[in-house]
Amino acid sequence: MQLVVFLLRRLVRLVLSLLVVSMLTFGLLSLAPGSFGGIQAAGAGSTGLASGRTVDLTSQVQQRYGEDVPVWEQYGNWLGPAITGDLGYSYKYPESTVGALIADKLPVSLALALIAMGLALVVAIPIGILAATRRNSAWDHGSMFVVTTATAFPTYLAGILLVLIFCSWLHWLPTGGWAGPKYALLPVLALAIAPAGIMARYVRSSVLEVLREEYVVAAVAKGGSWGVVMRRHVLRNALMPLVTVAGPLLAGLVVGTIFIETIFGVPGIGGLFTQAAQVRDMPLLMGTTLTFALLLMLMNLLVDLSYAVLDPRTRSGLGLSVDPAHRSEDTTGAILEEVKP
Amino acid sequence: MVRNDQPLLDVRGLSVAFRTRGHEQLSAVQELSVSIDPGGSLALVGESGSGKSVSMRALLGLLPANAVVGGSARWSGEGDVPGGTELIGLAPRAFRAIRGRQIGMVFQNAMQALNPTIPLKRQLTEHLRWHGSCTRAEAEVRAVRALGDVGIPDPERRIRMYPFQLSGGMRQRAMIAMAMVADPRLLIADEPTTAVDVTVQKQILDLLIDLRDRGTAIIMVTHDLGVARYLCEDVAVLYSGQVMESARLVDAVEDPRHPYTRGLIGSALELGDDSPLRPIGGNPPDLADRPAGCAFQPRCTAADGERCAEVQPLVRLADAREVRCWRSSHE
Repeated sequence: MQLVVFLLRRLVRLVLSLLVVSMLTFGLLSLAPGSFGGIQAAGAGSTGLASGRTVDLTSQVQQRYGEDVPVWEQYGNWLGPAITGDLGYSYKYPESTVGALIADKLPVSLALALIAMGLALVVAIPIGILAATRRNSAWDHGSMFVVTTATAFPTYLAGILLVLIFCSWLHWLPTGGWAGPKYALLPVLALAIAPAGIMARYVRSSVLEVLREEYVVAAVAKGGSWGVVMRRHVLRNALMPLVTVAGPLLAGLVVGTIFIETIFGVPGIGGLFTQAAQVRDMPLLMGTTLTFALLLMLMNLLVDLSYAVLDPRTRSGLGLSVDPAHRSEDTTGAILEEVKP
Repeated sequence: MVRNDQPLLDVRGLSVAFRTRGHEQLSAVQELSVSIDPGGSLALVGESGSGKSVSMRALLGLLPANAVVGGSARWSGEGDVPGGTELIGLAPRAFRAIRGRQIGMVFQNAMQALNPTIPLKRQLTEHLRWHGSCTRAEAEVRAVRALGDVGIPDPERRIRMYPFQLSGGMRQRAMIAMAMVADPRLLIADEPTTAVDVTVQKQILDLLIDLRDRGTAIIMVTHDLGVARYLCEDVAVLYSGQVMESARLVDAVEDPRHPYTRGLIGSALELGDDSPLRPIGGNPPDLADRPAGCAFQPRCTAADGERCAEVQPLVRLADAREVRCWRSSHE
C-alpha cells in the first residue's frame, strides 16, 4: 500500500516536471532567433528567388508551420495533442511522426549507453575495491590519479582522441558509421571513460567506509577469512549505494550520446536531436528533449525503488515483505522519507 | 589434556602502540599481564582510553594495520599444544581456527556489530560453516537453540529477521548468541552492557553469569566496577594502558590499594547508598603526553611529588595482589 502511494506521488511529480520542462524548452526555443520556417525561406531565397519576395515567402512558410501566432498559442497547439501522446509530425522528415522517429532511434542510444555503463562498472568496481583494500599503496595512488583524470575528461574530447589514436594512427577501427560491433567499440569506450572514473572513486570511498564498520571486525572475530569477510560483509554493503550513482550516470550517458553520436555518426536519438536543433524542427526538438527528461526522471525513480528493494530496512518501510512469512514490527511510513531524493 | 595449573589464557607483557603519521608511535597499552583460568572470570576495568578494549582486540589480532603489538599471549584452549599457542603474531590460518571457534567476542553495540543487511540466521550460522564443524541444517538447529538459550522468545521466527527488526535488548542477546553458538572456551565481552538500558543490563549480566556457571571463561571489559562485581572473580584495573591494580575483585572493592581503584569505587553510583559521589578530578592523560613517573599522579589525591615522579613498578603484595603504587607496600 505504501508502495502504491509512493509511486503515485512520484508519478504526479514526474508529470508536473515534464510539463515545466516542456514550457521552458518551448519558451527558450521561441526566444532564440530563427525558426524552421525562417530557415526554409532563407534557404529558398538564397537559391535564386528575388530578394524582394523573401519576406513574403517567409511569412507564407511560417504560416504553414503555425509560426504566425503568438508563442503561448503555439505552445497550446503543441501541448493539446502532446498530452494525448501525439507529438505531431517532424518538419524535417514530414513523412514520419516524432514518436516513430524516436522509437526508431532511441534503442540504438539506449543500447550504447547500457553497454558503456556495463563496461564502466566492470572496470570501476575492481579498481575501487583494490584501491580501498590497499589504501595508500602505490596502486591506490596510481589508479586514483588515472581515475580522477578520467573523471575530468569530457566525452567529446575522449571521442576525438580515440578516433585520433585508433583510426588515424593505428588504423584499427573505422572512424564512424554504424554497421556492426566494430563500429560500436569506440563510442562505447568514449562514453564509458568518465562514468568509470566517477564510479571507481565512489566504490573506493564506499568500501573504505564499510571496512571501518564494527560488523566487519565482528566477522573477522568470528573467524572469517579476508576473502569471505570481503565478499559476504563488505562488498554487499559497499556496492549497494553504487546504485544511487549508477542510475543517474546511465541516464546521463543517454544524453551524453549527443556528442558521441555526432562524432561517430551513430544513428541514435542524440543525432536526431542535433539535426532537429540545426533546422529548428520544433516538434522533433520538443520530442527528443522530453524523452531525455523523461529518461532522467525514470532513472531516478528506478534508483530509489531498487535501493529500497536492496536494503531490507527501506524494503520493510515500503510495505514490501522482508520475509514472506513475517512482517516487521516497525513498519513506519517515516522510512519512506529515506528513499526520497 | 589441559593441565590444571595452566591458565587458559596467559598474557605477559602485552604492549600495543599505533604508528601515526609524522609522530612517533603512540603507546596505548604497556606491559599488560593478566591471566584467566579455565572457567574463570576476569574484569578489565578502566576509563575510556585506558587500553582495555584495545588490548583485547590485540589478543585476537583485530587491530588495524598501523597497530604494533608486542609481548606474549599463550592460549591453552586447544588442549594438545604444550605450553599453549602464541596468539601474538599467529599466522592468519591458525588464527582463524581460534577466533570465533575457541575465543568468542561480544561487542559493545550490537546495532553496529551486526551486519544490517544480512538476516540473523546467516550471521549466527556462517562461522559454524567456516569452521567446518557442522552441516547447514545442524548449524541452523544450533543457532535457533542458541537464540533460545539467551532468552529470545520464539527463536524460530526471530532468526529469520534482520537486526533492525529486533529491539535493542534482543539485538544484544542475539550478538551474545552469535558468539556462544560456536561454544567457545573463552568469551571476551567488550562493554556488553554499556549500550543497553538498565533493565536489559541486568538480563545480559544474568545471561553471562549463566554462561560462566556452565564453564565458559569470561573476560569482561567495562568501565563500571559495579557491573564487574556482579560477574567476575578477578579484576585488573587499567589506567593509561597500564595495570594499576590486579586482585580478586572482592578484595579490590573492599580494600582497594591503589588510589585510582579507590577513586573508581568512590565515583560509582549505587542505589540505597546516600554517600555523595566523589568523582576523580581531571582527565586521563593524552597518549602522546604521559606524565613522567606514575601516570595517575596528576589526578591522584594521595600524590607525593618525589616518590610519584619515579616510574612505578607493579609490585606483588603478600596476598597475591599486584599494585602499581609505592604507597601500597608502605602502608
